[in-house]
Amino acid sequence: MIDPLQVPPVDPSERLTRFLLSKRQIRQDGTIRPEAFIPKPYLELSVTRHRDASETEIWEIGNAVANAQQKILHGRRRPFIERPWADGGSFLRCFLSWFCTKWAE
Amino acid sequence: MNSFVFPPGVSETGRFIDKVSALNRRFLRQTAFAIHSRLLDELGEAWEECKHANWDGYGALPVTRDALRNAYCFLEALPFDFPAPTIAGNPNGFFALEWYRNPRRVISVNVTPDCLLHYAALRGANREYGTEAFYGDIPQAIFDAIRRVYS
Repeated sequence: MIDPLQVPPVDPSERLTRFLLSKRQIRQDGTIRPEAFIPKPYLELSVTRHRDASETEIWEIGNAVANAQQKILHGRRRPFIERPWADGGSFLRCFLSWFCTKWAE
Repeated sequence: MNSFVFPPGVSETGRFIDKVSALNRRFLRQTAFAIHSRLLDELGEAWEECKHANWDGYGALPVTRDALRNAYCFLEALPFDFPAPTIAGNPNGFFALEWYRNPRRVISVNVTPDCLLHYAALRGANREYGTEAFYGDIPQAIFDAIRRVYS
């Protein structure tokens, strides 16, 4: 557990997770829709840092979060942490680039 | 902005023609194209899921009735032979309609409560995105962008 008073900065290679509590964010082929990563309404996105946690512990955290909100955990996905408008051709980058630019105006 | 989808005709005759056209279009869809009722069912289910704040567990804004109405009008305005989108909520309180062929050919159109359509598309290495006002007809730019995803 990270000391809340001394949160270290996120390392570019650090593993992060975004929990998916809406089944509509997952396509039929198992890929994730970009809406799952929209940093509403600011340019910040809540994620869970793996740090030293095991896969099982990460799933437990997700289930605990979902249970506390009386929702169902449908999955989790590792978001990219570089700037979404950096080079790259994925739809997620394209989409987030557009939205982040929009909200930054 | 006043959120209202204006009919194209303003005279009494114009409104009558719009009304009849809309009724005929709806009848055609409901009878010959079952896909339409499935789409509207999906829209209703998506709204049920997203109409309360924090529906994504990360503080998402609720999708409002205005966004629902505009998404409904958008779906109604789609041509008969058009591929059907999948529908989800956007954390900003929008509806996100997505036409997805594969990870490299996809377009998402976000319908806002204030009659705006934000869209982003990827076709191979090509990207396009923008915002169009929605007055009841599918804007040409979005229409063409969807077609290009399937071309």
